[in-house]
Amino acid sequence: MKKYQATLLENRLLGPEIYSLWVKITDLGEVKPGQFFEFATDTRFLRRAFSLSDRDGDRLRFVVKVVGSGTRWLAGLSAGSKLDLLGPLGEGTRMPSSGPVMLLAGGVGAAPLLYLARKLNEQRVEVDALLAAGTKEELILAEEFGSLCREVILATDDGSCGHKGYLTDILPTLPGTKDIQSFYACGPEAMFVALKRLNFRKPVYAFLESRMGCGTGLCMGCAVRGRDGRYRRVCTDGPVFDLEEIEL
Amino acid sequence: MNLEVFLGKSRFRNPLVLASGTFGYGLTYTDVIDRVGAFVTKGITVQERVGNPPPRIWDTKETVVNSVGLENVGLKRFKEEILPEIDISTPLYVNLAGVTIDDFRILIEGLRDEEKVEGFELNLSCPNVKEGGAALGQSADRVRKVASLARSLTTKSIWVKLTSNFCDVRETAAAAADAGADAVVIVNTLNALIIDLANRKPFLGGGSGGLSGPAIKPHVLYMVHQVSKQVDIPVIASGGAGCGTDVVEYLLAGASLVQIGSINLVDPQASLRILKGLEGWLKREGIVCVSELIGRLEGI
Ligand SMILES: Cc1cc2nc3c(=O)[nH]c(=O)nc-3n(C[C@H](O)[C@H](O)[C@H](O)COP(=O)(O)OP(=O)(O)OC[C@H]3O[C@@H](n4cnc5c(N)ncnc54)[C@H](O)[C@@H]3O)c2cc1C
Ligand SMILES: Cc1cc2nc3c(=O)[nH]c(=O)nc-3n(C[C@H](O)[C@H](O)[C@H](O)COP(=O)(O)O)c2cc1C
Repeated sequence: MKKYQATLLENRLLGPEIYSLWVKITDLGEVKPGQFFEFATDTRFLRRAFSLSDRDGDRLRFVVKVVGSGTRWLAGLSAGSKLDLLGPLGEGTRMPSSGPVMLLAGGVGAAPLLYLARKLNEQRVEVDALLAAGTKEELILAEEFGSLCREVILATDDGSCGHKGYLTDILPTLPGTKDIQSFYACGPEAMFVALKRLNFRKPVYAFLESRMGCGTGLCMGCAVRGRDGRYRRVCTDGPVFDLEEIEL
Repeated sequence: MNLEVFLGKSRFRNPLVLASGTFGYGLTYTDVIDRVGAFVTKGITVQERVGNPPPRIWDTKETVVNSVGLENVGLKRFKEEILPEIDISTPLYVNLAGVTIDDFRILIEGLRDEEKVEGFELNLSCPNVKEGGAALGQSADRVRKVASLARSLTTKSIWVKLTSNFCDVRETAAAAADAGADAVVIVNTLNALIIDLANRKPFLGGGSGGLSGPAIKPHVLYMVHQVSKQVDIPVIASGGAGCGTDVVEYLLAGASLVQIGSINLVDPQASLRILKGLEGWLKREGIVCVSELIGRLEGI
């Protein structure tokens, strides 16, 4: 973990209230999929957490959905702005030893899974992606996943693009998921709850995005309950957890 | 330049103290811990506590509201699993969070023989636990009882961390001083409620929470000043300090040490920046000894 002074290279609208930010950081080491950075904003005391979504050398991509004041501020920044970042934070995810694996993205949950897809691709692990969102406009990064995945399946709640329905309704109907060795999921909490109910025989790794305090393990502000009744810290124990190990 | 501060016989290399609950158990970022005056652990209770359900934290530009609910490993695991792992060169204070007076006896008896422990911070002020803690700190009588008990059980340093919620902190501080405490800490977080309007219920999982951060500094400065006029034991300030001049202000108002809390959540190295700011200010003002500043507020 280090503190970085980064420069915003590009800030572009990806979908309704969803922005793609390319940021330049120099002297950054290896970042694991699932790791995140904490961004200082002008409107909030605590930093805001965003997962690394893609990387090209010293250029890092983040995808930000506006849900409140800090994200609104970030969305309003223009190229050239300076950013105060802390990272990389979190344990990140363990990489699978064998494929194929399937990525399950709900809305802006596609962000960290894209970087995972790139890393899997580099390690020649076969990867499929199921990208779901409310509407066609909210389906993001499909092209990027397309260039890295064996297959990309799209779904929208309203049927405006791809399959119609929730990700967890479509998943069991898909042919060819039998050879999948593990699933990696990121999305709203309701999606994780529904995924848990599907009761896969294969491991499902959940990328959590709980409200966070410090991001560095100091404050116990970001808690997720484990099966043993004790809370885990999302920041330093995660943010990726075996879905079996946590209670939602 | 001399940044040392003495509280009785205890020496602190500088007036900064890492505040309880904002720097974990002292197992990480030890390079930062080793540069400040003292380190206070997260509150330890007799039994392990899982803490409050999420969400546990909320903020604006100048405030943090938390309801962590004293999640901690409990006395036994702290002694067996955490304490042996702590490796710091800075005085270690254990924040003790008793719910009853007897809890404080158990906690102190459990830790008083540990060489690594320099002293105790009695948390009589946590607003995030329904059963007590804060209630103990709200009456001068009970503060006197807990502090006297602590004094009778150990010769280690005893800091009494007080609350300004629903009580006169000048009276509770005087009671702590009477009972033989080495210092009082002014203050813990202020009671706070955040409302989730759409659902017409409290936003935080614990119901209510504790307010901290820059917004509470003017209030705490006032309280530190009032208390330091009232008692003749050292006062330790805790509330919203975020830069070198905040520390100077607290010292002028009467504090001997200044705790650094919420700002650690923004940057674990904040103390190093604050220290630099303090040194810069002293240099510009031509002040050689930081302790010269203590209580030197003029015109009031
Ligand atoms: C590890 C991790 C990775 C993440 N990665 C990403 C990512 O890649 N992309 C992304 O877009 N997001 C990501 N997030 C989520 C992101 O951090 C949050 O969306 C962001 O912190 C919100 O900040 P804000 O200031 O805009 O919102 P805030 O103003 O803090 O509000 C946040 C939410 O809380 C609600 N809220 C606040 N106060 C109240 C109240 N009184 N009553 C009811 N509701 C309330 C708001 O309505 C809103 O839904 C990630 C989170 C984590 C922990
Ligand atoms: C997340 C969080 C957890 C805290 N936990 C404790 C605790 O366990 N025991 C305690 O005495 N104070 C606790 N506090 C209070 C701080 O130690 C400090 O007194 C208070 O936050 C005011 O200072 P600040 O404005 O600099 O943060 C906590 C504060 C925060 C923000």
